[in-house]
Amino acid sequence: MKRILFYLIIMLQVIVIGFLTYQFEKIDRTGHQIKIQTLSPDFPVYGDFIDGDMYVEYDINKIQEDRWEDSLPLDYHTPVFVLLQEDKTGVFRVRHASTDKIEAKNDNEFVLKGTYHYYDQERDFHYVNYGLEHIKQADQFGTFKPRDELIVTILIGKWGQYKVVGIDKWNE
Amino acid sequence: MNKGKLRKEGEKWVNDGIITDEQLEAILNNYVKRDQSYLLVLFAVFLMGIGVLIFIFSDWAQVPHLSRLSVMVISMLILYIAGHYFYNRSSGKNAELNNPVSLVDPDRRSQIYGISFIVLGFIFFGATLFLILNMYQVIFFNVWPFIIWSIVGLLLYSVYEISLLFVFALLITIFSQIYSALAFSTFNLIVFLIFIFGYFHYVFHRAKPIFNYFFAIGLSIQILIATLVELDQYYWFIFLTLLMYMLGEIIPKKALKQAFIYVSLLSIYIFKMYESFLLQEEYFLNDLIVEPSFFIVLGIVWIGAFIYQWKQNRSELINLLLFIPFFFIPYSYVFIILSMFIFSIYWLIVGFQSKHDNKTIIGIVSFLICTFTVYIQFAWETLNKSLFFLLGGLLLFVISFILEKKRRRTEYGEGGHKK
Repeated sequence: MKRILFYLIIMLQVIVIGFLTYQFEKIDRTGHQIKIQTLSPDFPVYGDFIDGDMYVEYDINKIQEDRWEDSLPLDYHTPVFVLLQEDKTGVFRVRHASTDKIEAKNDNEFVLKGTYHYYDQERDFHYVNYGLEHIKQADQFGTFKPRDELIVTILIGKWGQYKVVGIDKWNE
Repeated sequence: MNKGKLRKEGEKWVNDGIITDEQLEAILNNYVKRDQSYLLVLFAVFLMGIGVLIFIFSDWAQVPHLSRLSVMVISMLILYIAGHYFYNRSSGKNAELNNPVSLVDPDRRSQIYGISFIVLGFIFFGATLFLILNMYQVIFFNVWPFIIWSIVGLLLYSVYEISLLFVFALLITIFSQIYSALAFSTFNLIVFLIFIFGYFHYVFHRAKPIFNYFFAIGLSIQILIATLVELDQYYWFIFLTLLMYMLGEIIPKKALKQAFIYVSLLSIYIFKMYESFLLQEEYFLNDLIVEPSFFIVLGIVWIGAFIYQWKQNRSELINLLLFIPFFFIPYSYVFIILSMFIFSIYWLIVGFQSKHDNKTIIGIVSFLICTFTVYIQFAWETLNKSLFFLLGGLLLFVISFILEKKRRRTEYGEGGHKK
Protein backbone atom coordinates (compact mmCIF):
# COMPACT_ATOMS: atom_id res chain seq x y z
CA MET A 1 0.00 0.00 0.00
CA LYS A 2 2.75 2.35 1.04
CA ARG A 3 4.75 1.45 -2.03
CA ILE A 4 1.83 2.15 -4.35
CA LEU A 5 1.20 5.49 -2.70
CA PHE A 6 4.84 6.42 -2.96
CA TYR A 7 4.97 5.60 -6.66
CA LEU A 8 1.73 7.49 -7.18
CA ILE A 9 3.25 10.59 -5.62
CA ILE A 10 6.36 10.27 -7.77
CA MET A 11 4.15 9.88 -10.84
CA LEU A 12 2.23 12.96 -9.78
CA GLN A 13 5.45 14.99 -9.70
CA VAL A 14 6.44 13.83 -13.16
CA ILE A 15 2.95 14.63 -14.42
CA VAL A 16 3.10 18.14 -12.95
CA ILE A 17 6.42 18.78 -14.66
CA GLY A 18 5.21 17.20 -17.91
CA PHE A 19 1.98 19.18 -17.89
CA LEU A 20 3.73 22.49 -17.30
CA THR A 21 6.31 21.75 -19.99
CA TYR A 22 3.55 20.85 -22.45
CA GLN A 23 1.70 24.06 -21.67
CA PHE A 24 4.84 26.14 -22.10
CA GLU A 25 5.89 24.40 -25.30
CA LYS A 26 2.70 25.21 -27.12
CA ILE A 27 3.01 28.98 -26.70
CA ASP A 28 3.78 29.39 -30.40
CA ARG A 29 0.25 28.29 -31.22
CA THR A 30 -1.77 29.62 -28.31
CA GLY A 31 0.20 32.71 -27.21
CA HIS A 32 -1.18 36.17 -27.77
CA GLN A 33 1.12 38.31 -29.89
CA ILE A 34 1.67 41.95 -28.99
CA LYS A 35 4.08 44.61 -30.19
CA ILE A 36 5.45 47.11 -27.73
CA GLN A 37 7.80 50.02 -28.16
CA THR A 38 11.01 50.66 -26.24
CA LEU A 39 12.19 54.08 -25.19
CA SER A 40 15.58 55.54 -25.81
CA PRO A 41 17.30 55.04 -22.49
CA ASP A 42 17.81 57.66 -19.85
CA PHE A 43 19.97 55.32 -17.88
CA PRO A 44 23.06 53.79 -19.50
CA VAL A 45 22.34 50.14 -18.74
CA TYR A 46 19.15 50.06 -20.77
CA GLY A 47 19.29 49.17 -24.42
CA ASP A 48 22.72 47.71 -24.08
CA PHE A 49 23.84 44.20 -24.71
CA ILE A 50 25.25 42.21 -21.86
CA ASP A 51 26.39 38.79 -23.03
CA GLY A 52 23.85 38.97 -25.83
CA ASP A 53 21.05 39.86 -23.42
CA MET A 54 19.46 43.26 -23.52
CA TYR A 55 17.80 45.39 -20.87
CA VAL A 56 15.22 47.77 -22.24
CA GLU A 57 12.58 50.16 -21.04
CA TYR A 58 9.19 50.28 -22.74
CA ASP A 59 6.81 53.15 -23.04
CA ILE A 60 4.23 50.96 -21.27
CA ASN A 61 6.46 50.98 -18.19
CA LYS A 62 5.67 54.61 -17.53
CA ILE A 63 2.02 55.24 -16.83
CA GLN A 64 0.61 58.72 -16.33
CA GLU A 65 -1.44 59.56 -13.28
CA ASP A 66 -4.73 60.02 -15.22
CA ARG A 67 -4.62 56.46 -16.52
CA TRP A 68 -4.97 54.97 -13.06
CA GLU A 69 -8.14 53.96 -11.29
CA ASP A 70 -6.62 53.69 -7.83
CA SER A 71 -5.44 56.11 -5.22
CA LEU A 72 -1.73 56.44 -5.76
CA PRO A 73 1.04 55.74 -5.07
CA LEU A 74 0.64 52.03 -4.36
CA ASP A 75 2.93 49.88 -2.27
CA TYR A 76 6.13 48.76 -3.89
CA HIS A 77 5.61 45.44 -5.75
CA THR A 78 1.81 45.50 -5.68
CA PRO A 79 0.47 43.43 -8.61
CA VAL A 80 -1.42 45.60 -11.12
CA PHE A 81 -3.38 44.98 -14.31
CA VAL A 82 -2.66 47.16 -17.30
CA LEU A 83 -5.07 47.36 -20.22
CA LEU A 84 -3.23 47.87 -23.51
CA GLN A 85 -4.83 48.99 -26.73
CA GLU A 86 -3.47 48.66 -30.24
CA ASP A 87 -2.92 51.91 -32.10
CA LYS A 88 -2.99 52.47 -35.89
CA THR A 89 0.56 51.24 -36.38
CA GLY A 90 -0.15 47.98 -34.56
CA VAL A 91 1.80 48.89 -31.43
CA PHE A 92 0.13 48.43 -28.05
CA ARG A 93 -0.13 51.44 -25.72
CA VAL A 94 -1.44 51.85 -22.20
CA ARG A 95 -5.15 52.64 -21.93
CA HIS A 96 -5.55 52.32 -18.20
CA ALA A 97 -4.20 50.54 -15.15
CA SER A 98 -5.76 49.17 -12.01
CA THR A 99 -5.19 46.85 -9.10
CA ASP A 100 -8.54 45.20 -9.84
CA LYS A 101 -8.80 42.63 -12.55
CA ILE A 102 -9.58 44.08 -16.01
CA GLU A 103 -10.96 42.11 -18.96
CA ALA A 104 -10.02 42.81 -22.57
CA LYS A 105 -13.15 43.56 -24.57
CA ASN A 106 -11.93 42.93 -28.10
CA ASP A 107 -8.94 41.82 -30.15
CA ASN A 108 -7.36 45.26 -30.11
CA GLU A 109 -7.03 45.12 -26.36
CA PHE A 110 -4.81 43.07 -24.15
CA VAL A 111 -4.38 42.91 -20.38
CA LEU A 112 -0.85 42.65 -19.10
CA LYS A 113 0.03 41.95 -15.50
CA GLY A 114 2.86 43.78 -13.79
CA THR A 115 4.08 45.02 -10.44
CA TYR A 116 4.00 48.64 -9.32
CA HIS A 117 7.40 50.08 -8.60
CA TYR A 118 7.56 53.79 -7.89
CA TYR A 119 6.29 57.26 -8.65
CA ASP A 120 8.64 59.61 -10.48
CA GLN A 121 7.70 63.03 -9.19
CA GLU A 122 9.85 65.07 -11.55
CA ARG A 123 8.53 63.57 -14.73
CA ASP A 124 5.16 62.61 -13.32
CA PHE A 125 4.68 58.96 -14.13
CA HIS A 126 4.19 55.73 -12.21
CA TYR A 127 6.64 53.01 -13.10
CA VAL A 128 5.29 49.48 -13.61
CA ASN A 129 7.52 46.50 -14.13
CA TYR A 130 6.33 43.60 -16.32
CA GLY A 131 9.28 41.23 -16.24
CA LEU A 132 9.62 41.68 -20.01
CA GLU A 133 12.42 44.20 -19.65
CA HIS A 134 15.17 41.63 -19.81
CA ILE A 135 15.38 40.13 -23.31
CA LYS A 136 17.49 37.01 -23.37
CA GLN A 137 19.73 36.39 -26.38
CA ALA A 138 18.55 39.56 -28.08
CA ASP A 139 21.54 39.43 -30.42
CA GLN A 140 19.82 36.76 -32.50
CA PHE A 141 17.51 39.48 -33.85
CA GLY A 142 20.28 41.80 -35.03
CA THR A 143 22.46 44.45 -33.45
CA PHE A 144 20.99 47.55 -31.94
CA LYS A 145 22.40 50.72 -30.49
CA PRO A 146 21.21 52.10 -27.18
CA ARG A 147 19.58 55.07 -28.88
CA ASP A 148 17.46 52.98 -31.26
CA GLU A 149 13.79 52.94 -30.53
CA LEU A 150 12.71 49.39 -31.04
CA ILE A 151 9.48 47.52 -31.60
CA VAL A 152 9.57 44.26 -29.68
CA THR A 153 7.17 41.51 -30.72
CA ILE A 154 6.28 39.26 -27.81
CA LEU A 155 4.14 36.18 -27.44
CA ILE A 156 2.35 36.08 -24.11
CA GLY A 157 1.12 32.72 -22.86
CA LYS A 158 -1.65 31.94 -20.47
CA TRP A 159 0.59 30.97 -17.57
CA GLY A 160 2.49 34.23 -17.44
CA GLN A 161 5.03 32.92 -19.86
CA TYR A 162 6.49 35.10 -22.59
CA LYS A 163 8.66 34.67 -25.62
CA VAL A 164 10.29 37.40 -27.67
CA VAL A 165 9.82 36.55 -31.36
CA GLY A 166 11.18 39.67 -33.03
CA ILE A 167 12.89 43.01 -32.53
CA ASP A 168 12.66 45.68 -35.23
CA LYS A 169 13.81 49.25 -35.43
CA TRP A 170 11.09 51.86 -35.35
CA ASN A 171 10.66 53.76 -38.64
CA GLU A 172 12.18 51.01 -40.72
CA MET B 1 24.28 11.78 28.21
CA ASN B 2 27.71 11.57 26.65
CA LYS B 3 29.29 8.18 27.33
CA GLY B 4 32.78 9.53 28.06
CA LYS B 5 31.38 12.01 30.54
CA LEU B 6 29.33 9.28 32.16
CA ARG B 7 32.39 7.08 32.58
CA LYS B 8 34.28 9.94 34.25
CA GLU B 9 31.40 10.63 36.61
CA GLY B 10 30.92 6.93 37.21
CA GLU B 11 34.56 6.44 38.25
CA LYS B 12 34.02 9.09 40.94
CA TRP B 13 31.00 7.20 42.19
CA VAL B 14 33.04 3.99 42.31
CA ASN B 15 35.73 5.76 44.32
CA ASP B 16 33.12 7.16 46.67
CA GLY B 17 31.77 3.66 47.12
CA ILE B 18 28.33 4.49 45.79
CA ILE B 19 28.45 1.81 43.11
CA THR B 20 30.75 -1.07 42.29
CA ASP B 21 32.87 -1.50 39.18
CA GLU B 22 30.50 -4.10 37.77
CA GLN B 23 27.55 -1.84 38.26
CA LEU B 24 29.36 0.95 36.45
CA GLU B 25 30.08 -1.36 33.51
CA ALA B 26 26.47 -2.47 33.46
CA ILE B 27 25.31 1.13 33.40
CA LEU B 28 27.78 2.07 30.69
CA ASN B 29 26.69 -0.86 28.55
CA ASN B 30 23.23 0.59 28.46
CA TYR B 31 24.59 3.63 26.65
CA VAL B 32 25.47 2.87 23.08
CA LYS B 33 27.99 5.24 21.64
CA ARG B 34 26.22 7.49 19.21
CA ASP B 35 26.97 7.02 15.60
CA GLN B 36 27.70 10.48 14.24
CA SER B 37 27.95 9.38 10.64
CA TYR B 38 24.47 10.65 9.92
CA LEU B 39 25.91 14.14 10.22
CA LEU B 40 28.14 13.51 7.24
CA VAL B 41 25.20 12.32 5.22
CA LEU B 42 23.16 15.29 6.32
CA PHE B 43 25.82 17.70 5.16
CA ALA B 44 26.20 15.73 1.95
CA VAL B 45 22.48 16.24 1.29
CA PHE B 46 22.72 19.95 1.97
CA LEU B 47 25.80 20.48 -0.16
CA MET B 48 24.33 18.53 -3.05
CA GLY B 49 21.03 20.32 -2.74
CA ILE B 50 22.70 23.72 -2.85
CA GLY B 51 24.92 22.57 -5.70
CA VAL B 52 21.98 21.43 -7.78
CA LEU B 53 20.04 24.63 -7.21
CA ILE B 54 22.98 26.82 -8.18
CA PHE B 55 23.70 24.65 -11.20
CA ILE B 56 20.12 24.90 -12.39
CA PHE B 57 20.13 28.65 -12.38
CA SER B 58 23.46 29.04 -14.05
CA ASP B 59 23.10 28.95 -17.81
CA TRP B 60 23.91 25.53 -19.07
CA ALA B 61 24.25 27.57 -22.21
CA GLN B 62 24.11 25.35 -25.25
CA VAL B 63 22.18 22.42 -23.85
CA PRO B 64 18.73 22.31 -25.48
CA HIS B 65 15.63 22.63 -23.36
CA LEU B 66 14.16 19.19 -23.40
CA SER B 67 17.37 17.31 -22.79
CA ARG B 68 18.13 19.51 -19.78
CA LEU B 69 14.72 18.70 -18.47
CA SER B 70 15.08 14.96 -19.06
CA VAL B 71 18.39 14.92 -17.20
CA MET B 72 16.70 16.50 -14.21
CA VAL B 73 13.61 14.32 -14.25
CA ILE B 74 15.60 11.11 -14.65
CA SER B 75 17.94 12.06 -11.79
CA MET B 76 14.92 12.83 -9.66
CA LEU B 77 13.38 9.45 -10.40
CA ILE B 78 16.62 7.61 -9.68
CA LEU B 79 16.97 9.41 -6.36
CA TYR B 80 13.42 8.64 -5.32
CA ILE B 81 13.64 4.99 -6.28
CA ALA B 82 17.02 4.56 -4.63
CA GLY B 83 15.73 6.26 -1.53
CA HIS B 84 12.66 4.08 -1.49
CA TYR B 85 14.80 0.95 -1.87
CA PHE B 86 17.26 1.82 0.89
CA TYR B 87 14.59 2.98 3.23
CA ASN B 88 12.54 -0.18 2.88
CA ARG B 89 15.58 -2.39 3.19
CA SER B 90 16.24 -0.92 6.59
CA SER B 91 12.67 -1.34 7.78
CA GLY B 92 12.68 -4.94 6.48
CA LYS B 93 15.48 -5.82 8.86
CA ASN B 94 14.15 -3.94 11.77
CA ALA B 95 10.59 -4.64 12.70
CA GLU B 96 10.30 -1.90 15.29
CA LEU B 97 10.97 0.74 12.68
CA ASN B 98 7.31 1.39 12.25
CA ASN B 99 7.61 4.11 14.80
CA PRO B 100 8.41 7.55 13.38
CA VAL B 101 12.00 7.80 12.35
CA SER B 102 14.32 10.11 14.15
CA LEU B 103 17.39 11.53 12.53
CA VAL B 104 19.63 10.56 15.37
CA ASP B 105 19.18 6.83 15.13
CA PRO B 106 22.43 4.90 15.16
CA ASP B 107 23.18 1.76 13.16
CA ARG B 108 20.67 2.47 10.53
CA ARG B 109 22.91 3.33 7.72
CA SER B 110 20.66 2.28 4.91
CA GLN B 111 17.85 4.14 6.49
CA ILE B 112 19.99 7.25 6.54
CA TYR B 113 20.79 6.74 2.89
CA GLY B 114 17.12 6.23 2.19
CA ILE B 115 16.23 9.45 3.98
CA SER B 116 18.87 11.49 2.23
CA PHE B 117 18.01 10.18 -1.22
CA ILE B 118 14.33 10.88 -0.78
CA VAL B 119 15.05 14.38 0.51
CA LEU B 120 17.40 14.98 -2.40
CA GLY B 121 14.73 13.74 -4.80
CA PHE B 122 12.39 16.27 -3.26
CA ILE B 123 14.98 19.04 -3.74
CA PHE B 124 15.43 17.91 -7.35
CA PHE B 125 11.70 18.19 -7.91
CA GLY B 126 11.69 21.82 -6.80
CA ALA B 127 14.82 22.54 -8.80
CA THR B 128 13.22 21.06 -11.93
CA LEU B 129 10.13 23.12 -11.38
CA PHE B 130 12.17 26.30 -11.23
CA LEU B 131 14.29 25.15 -14.16
CA ILE B 132 11.27 25.00 -16.47
CA LEU B 133 9.98 28.33 -15.21
CA ASN B 134 13.37 29.81 -16.00
CA MET B 135 13.73 28.07 -19.37
CA TYR B 136 10.36 29.14 -20.68
CA GLN B 137 10.61 32.63 -19.16
CA VAL B 138 7.57 32.42 -17.00
CA ILE B 139 6.69 35.46 -14.92
CA PHE B 140 4.60 34.61 -11.91
CA PHE B 141 2.55 37.01 -9.87
CA ASN B 142 1.94 34.79 -6.90
CA VAL B 143 3.92 31.98 -5.34
CA TRP B 144 2.21 29.06 -7.09
CA PRO B 145 5.46 27.14 -7.84
CA PHE B 146 6.30 27.20 -4.13
CA ILE B 147 2.79 26.04 -3.31
CA ILE B 148 3.17 23.01 -5.57
CA TRP B 149 6.53 22.23 -3.98
CA SER B 150 5.12 22.55 -0.49
CA ILE B 151 2.14 20.31 -1.22
CA VAL B 152 4.40 17.64 -2.74
CA GLY B 153 6.51 17.74 0.42
CA LEU B 154 3.44 17.20 2.54
CA LEU B 155 2.28 14.28 0.38
CA LEU B 156 5.70 12.65 0.55
CA TYR B 157 5.75 13.02 4.30
CA SER B 158 2.35 11.36 4.56
CA VAL B 159 3.93 8.23 3.08
CA TYR B 160 7.39 8.36 4.62
CA GLU B 161 7.58 10.10 7.94
CA ILE B 162 11.03 11.57 7.56
CA SER B 163 11.64 14.46 9.94
CA LEU B 164 14.24 16.07 7.72
CA LEU B 165 11.80 16.08 4.81
CA PHE B 166 9.13 17.64 6.95
CA VAL B 167 11.37 20.39 8.27
CA PHE B 168 12.57 21.13 4.77
CA ALA B 169 9.05 21.34 3.38
CA LEU B 170 7.99 23.47 6.33
CA LEU B 171 10.85 25.88 5.66
CA ILE B 172 9.83 26.09 2.01
CA THR B 173 6.29 26.98 3.06
CA ILE B 174 7.46 29.69 5.44
CA PHE B 175 9.88 31.02 2.86
CA SER B 176 7.16 31.17 0.21
CA GLN B 177 5.14 33.46 2.45
CA ILE B 178 8.16 35.71 2.98
CA TYR B 179 8.78 35.70 -0.77
CA SER B 180 5.16 36.56 -1.44
CA ALA B 181 5.49 39.57 0.84
CA LEU B 182 8.75 40.75 -0.67
CA ALA B 183 8.04 40.18 -4.35
CA PHE B 184 4.33 40.85 -4.60
CA SER B 185 3.59 42.57 -1.28
CA THR B 186 0.78 40.11 -0.75
CA PHE B 187 -0.07 37.79 2.10
CA ASN B 188 -0.79 34.50 0.37
CA LEU B 189 -3.83 32.91 1.95
CA ILE B 190 -3.34 29.53 0.25
CA VAL B 191 0.13 29.20 1.74
CA PHE B 192 -1.31 30.06 5.13
CA LEU B 193 -4.11 27.49 4.80
CA ILE B 194 -1.64 24.78 3.78
CA PHE B 195 0.50 25.77 6.73
CA ILE B 196 -2.37 25.62 9.20
CA PHE B 197 -4.34 22.65 7.93
CA GLY B 198 -1.61 20.58 6.29
CA TYR B 199 1.47 21.12 8.37
CA PHE B 200 -0.19 21.75 11.69
CA HIS B 201 -1.87 18.35 11.43
CA TYR B 202 1.50 16.61 11.53
CA VAL B 203 3.05 19.02 14.00
CA PHE B 204 0.17 18.33 16.36
CA HIS B 205 0.04 14.56 16.01
CA ARG B 206 3.77 13.83 15.80
CA ALA B 207 4.66 16.38 18.51
CA LYS B 208 8.39 16.48 17.87
CA PRO B 209 10.28 19.33 19.55
CA ILE B 210 11.98 20.42 16.34
CA PHE B 211 8.64 20.58 14.51
CA ASN B 212 7.04 22.56 17.30
CA TYR B 213 9.54 25.38 17.32
CA PHE B 214 9.86 25.65 13.55
CA PHE B 215 6.10 25.75 13.29
CA ALA B 216 5.67 28.33 16.04
CA ILE B 217 8.35 30.60 14.56
CA GLY B 218 6.76 30.16 11.13
CA LEU B 219 3.39 31.13 12.51
CA SER B 220 4.84 34.20 14.15
CA ILE B 221 6.53 35.24 10.90
CA GLN B 222 3.25 34.85 9.04
CA ILE B 223 1.46 36.96 11.64
CA LEU B 224 4.07 39.66 11.14
CA ILE B 225 3.72 39.52 7.35
CA ALA B 226 -0.07 39.58 7.52
CA THR B 227 0.12 42.68 9.71
CA LEU B 228 2.64 44.50 7.58
CA VAL B 229 1.18 43.68 4.20
CA GLU B 230 -2.55 43.32 4.60
CA LEU B 231 -3.52 45.37 7.63
CA ASP B 232 -3.35 49.12 7.70
CA GLN B 233 -2.46 49.56 11.32
CA TYR B 234 0.59 47.90 12.82
CA TYR B 235 -1.00 47.26 16.23
CA TRP B 236 -3.13 44.36 14.96
CA PHE B 237 0.02 42.36 15.54
CA ILE B 238 -0.81 42.46 19.26
CA PHE B 239 -4.20 40.91 18.64
CA LEU B 240 -2.95 38.17 16.30
CA THR B 241 -0.09 37.29 18.65
CA LEU B 242 -2.52 37.16 21.55
CA LEU B 243 -4.53 34.62 19.54
CA MET B 244 -1.38 32.58 19.06
CA TYR B 245 -0.61 32.80 22.76
CA MET B 246 -4.13 31.67 23.62
CA LEU B 247 -3.81 28.79 21.19
CA GLY B 248 -0.70 27.78 23.12
CA GLU B 249 -2.60 27.98 26.40
CA ILE B 250 -5.47 25.87 25.15
CA ILE B 251 -3.54 23.21 23.25
CA PRO B 252 -3.38 19.97 25.25
CA LYS B 253 0.13 18.88 24.22
CA LYS B 254 2.77 20.15 26.58
CA ALA B 255 5.72 20.52 24.22
CA LEU B 256 3.64 22.28 21.61
CA LYS B 257 2.11 24.48 24.27
CA GLN B 258 5.54 25.65 25.37
CA ALA B 259 6.70 26.37 21.85
CA PHE B 260 3.63 28.47 21.13
CA ILE B 261 3.79 30.38 24.40
CA TYR B 262 7.52 31.09 24.34
CA VAL B 263 7.61 32.12 20.70
CA SER B 264 4.57 34.36 21.03
CA LEU B 265 5.97 35.98 24.18
CA LEU B 266 9.33 36.57 22.57
CA SER B 267 7.80 38.05 19.44
CA ILE B 268 5.45 40.37 21.34
CA TYR B 269 8.39 41.43 23.47
CA ILE B 270 10.55 42.31 20.50
CA PHE B 271 7.53 43.98 18.94
CA LYS B 272 7.17 46.16 22.02
CA MET B 273 10.79 47.14 21.80
CA TYR B 274 10.30 48.44 18.25
CA GLU B 275 7.00 49.99 19.15
CA SER B 276 8.56 52.02 21.93
CA PHE B 277 11.06 53.48 19.44
CA LEU B 278 8.52 54.19 16.74
CA LEU B 279 6.00 55.84 19.02
CA GLN B 280 8.46 58.68 19.58
CA GLU B 281 8.66 59.46 15.87
CA GLU B 282 6.54 62.29 14.53
CA TYR B 283 5.88 60.72 11.11
CA PHE B 284 4.81 57.46 12.70
CA LEU B 285 2.32 59.14 15.02
CA ASN B 286 0.83 61.07 12.10
CA ASP B 287 -0.06 57.86 10.26
CA LEU B 288 -1.50 56.26 13.33
CA ILE B 289 -5.28 55.84 13.25
CA VAL B 290 -7.01 54.40 16.26
CA GLU B 291 -9.52 51.82 15.08
CA PRO B 292 -12.28 51.12 17.64
CA SER B 293 -12.83 47.62 16.22
CA PHE B 294 -9.34 46.71 17.38
CA PHE B 295 -10.14 47.53 20.99
CA ILE B 296 -13.39 45.63 20.88
CA VAL B 297 -11.97 42.36 19.54
CA LEU B 298 -8.79 42.64 21.57
CA GLY B 299 -10.81 43.38 24.70
CA ILE B 300 -13.02 40.35 24.23
CA VAL B 301 -10.13 37.96 23.63
CA TRP B 302 -8.03 39.51 26.38
CA ILE B 303 -10.76 39.16 28.99
CA GLY B 304 -11.35 35.61 27.81
CA ALA B 305 -7.63 34.90 28.17
CA PHE B 306 -7.60 36.49 31.63
CA ILE B 307 -10.47 34.36 32.90
CA TYR B 308 -8.95 31.23 31.40
CA GLN B 309 -5.57 31.86 32.99
CA TRP B 310 -7.11 32.84 36.30
CA LYS B 311 -8.65 29.40 36.44
CA GLN B 312 -5.70 27.47 35.01
CA ASN B 313 -2.52 28.93 36.47
CA ARG B 314 -2.55 32.30 38.10
CA SER B 315 1.21 32.56 38.37
CA GLU B 316 1.48 33.27 34.65
CA LEU B 317 -1.15 35.96 34.51
CA ILE B 318 1.64 38.50 34.11
CA ASN B 319 2.10 37.37 30.49
CA LEU B 320 -1.14 39.07 29.58
CA LEU B 321 0.34 42.41 30.59
CA LEU B 322 2.37 42.36 27.38
CA PHE B 323 -0.80 42.21 25.31
CA ILE B 324 -2.25 45.44 26.66
CA PRO B 325 -1.95 48.18 24.02
CA PHE B 326 -0.64 51.56 25.18
CA PHE B 327 -0.11 53.39 21.92
CA PHE B 328 -3.17 55.63 22.21
CA ILE B 329 -2.16 57.40 25.41
CA PRO B 330 0.37 60.22 25.69
CA TYR B 331 3.94 59.18 26.52
CA SER B 332 2.93 55.68 25.58
CA TYR B 333 6.52 54.54 25.22
CA VAL B 334 7.10 55.03 28.94
CA PHE B 335 4.21 52.71 29.73
CA ILE B 336 5.40 50.18 27.20
CA ILE B 337 8.86 50.07 28.71
CA LEU B 338 7.36 49.93 32.18
CA SER B 339 5.23 46.92 31.25
CA MET B 340 8.25 45.20 29.75
CA PHE B 341 10.21 45.91 32.89
CA ILE B 342 7.53 44.58 35.25
CA PHE B 343 7.23 41.45 33.14
CA SER B 344 10.95 40.71 33.21
CA ILE B 345 11.39 41.45 36.92
CA TYR B 346 8.46 39.22 37.76
CA TRP B 347 9.92 36.30 35.86
CA LEU B 348 13.38 36.87 37.29
CA ILE B 349 12.05 36.72 40.82
CA VAL B 350 9.68 33.83 40.21
CA GLY B 351 12.36 31.97 38.28
CA PHE B 352 14.93 32.24 41.04
CA GLN B 353 12.49 31.48 43.79
CA SER B 354 11.05 28.41 42.16
CA LYS B 355 14.44 27.38 40.68
CA HIS B 356 12.66 26.76 37.46
CA ASP B 357 15.18 27.10 34.64
CA ASN B 358 12.76 27.98 31.88
CA LYS B 359 11.22 30.76 33.91
CA THR B 360 14.62 32.16 34.83
CA ILE B 361 15.58 32.18 31.18
CA ILE B 362 12.43 34.12 30.28
CA GLY B 363 13.35 36.58 33.02
CA ILE B 364 16.96 37.01 31.96
CA VAL B 365 16.29 37.32 28.24
CA SER B 366 13.44 39.75 28.70
CA PHE B 367 15.41 41.77 31.22
CA LEU B 368 18.33 42.11 28.84
CA ILE B 369 16.10 43.18 25.95
CA CYS B 370 14.31 45.62 28.21
CA THR B 371 17.52 47.16 29.54
CA PHE B 372 18.86 47.51 26.04
CA THR B 373 15.69 49.22 24.92
CA VAL B 374 15.86 51.71 27.74
CA TYR B 375 19.52 52.26 27.13
CA ILE B 376 19.09 52.99 23.44
CA GLN B 377 16.10 55.23 24.19
CA PHE B 378 17.76 57.50 26.64
CA ALA B 379 21.46 57.30 26.03
CA TRP B 380 21.95 56.73 22.30
CA GLU B 381 21.83 60.34 21.25
CA THR B 382 23.60 61.98 24.16
CA LEU B 383 26.44 59.52 24.55
CA ASN B 384 29.37 58.83 22.33
CA LYS B 385 28.90 55.62 20.29
CA SER B 386 31.94 53.83 21.66
CA LEU B 387 30.85 54.72 25.13
CA PHE B 388 27.56 53.08 24.30
CA PHE B 389 29.16 49.71 23.83
CA LEU B 390 31.46 50.15 26.81
CA LEU B 391 28.64 51.10 29.14
CA GLY B 392 26.44 48.40 27.63
CA GLY B 393 29.06 45.80 28.44
CA LEU B 394 29.49 47.20 31.92
CA LEU B 395 25.77 47.10 32.52
CA LEU B 396 25.64 43.45 31.52
CA PHE B 397 28.49 42.69 33.91
CA VAL B 398 26.65 44.35 36.77
CA ILE B 399 23.46 42.49 35.97
CA SER B 400 25.19 39.15 35.76
CA PHE B 401 27.00 39.88 39.03
CA ILE B 402 23.78 40.68 40.85
CA LEU B 403 22.02 37.66 39.40
CA GLU B 404 24.89 35.36 40.29
CA LYS B 405 24.98 36.71 43.84
CA LYS B 406 21.28 36.20 44.18
CA ARG B 407 21.56 32.70 42.74
CA ARG B 408 24.21 31.81 45.31
CA ARG B 409 22.16 33.23 48.09
CA THR B 410 19.15 31.14 47.11
CA GLU B 411 21.32 28.07 46.65
CA TYR B 412 23.50 28.29 49.74
CA GLY B 413 21.33 30.31 52.05
CA GLU B 414 22.15 33.60 53.76
CA GLY B 415 25.09 32.33 55.79
CA GLY B 416 26.92 30.90 52.82
CA HIS B 417 26.38 27.28 53.82
CA LYS B 418 24.87 24.87 51.43
CA LYS B 419 21.32 24.10 52.38
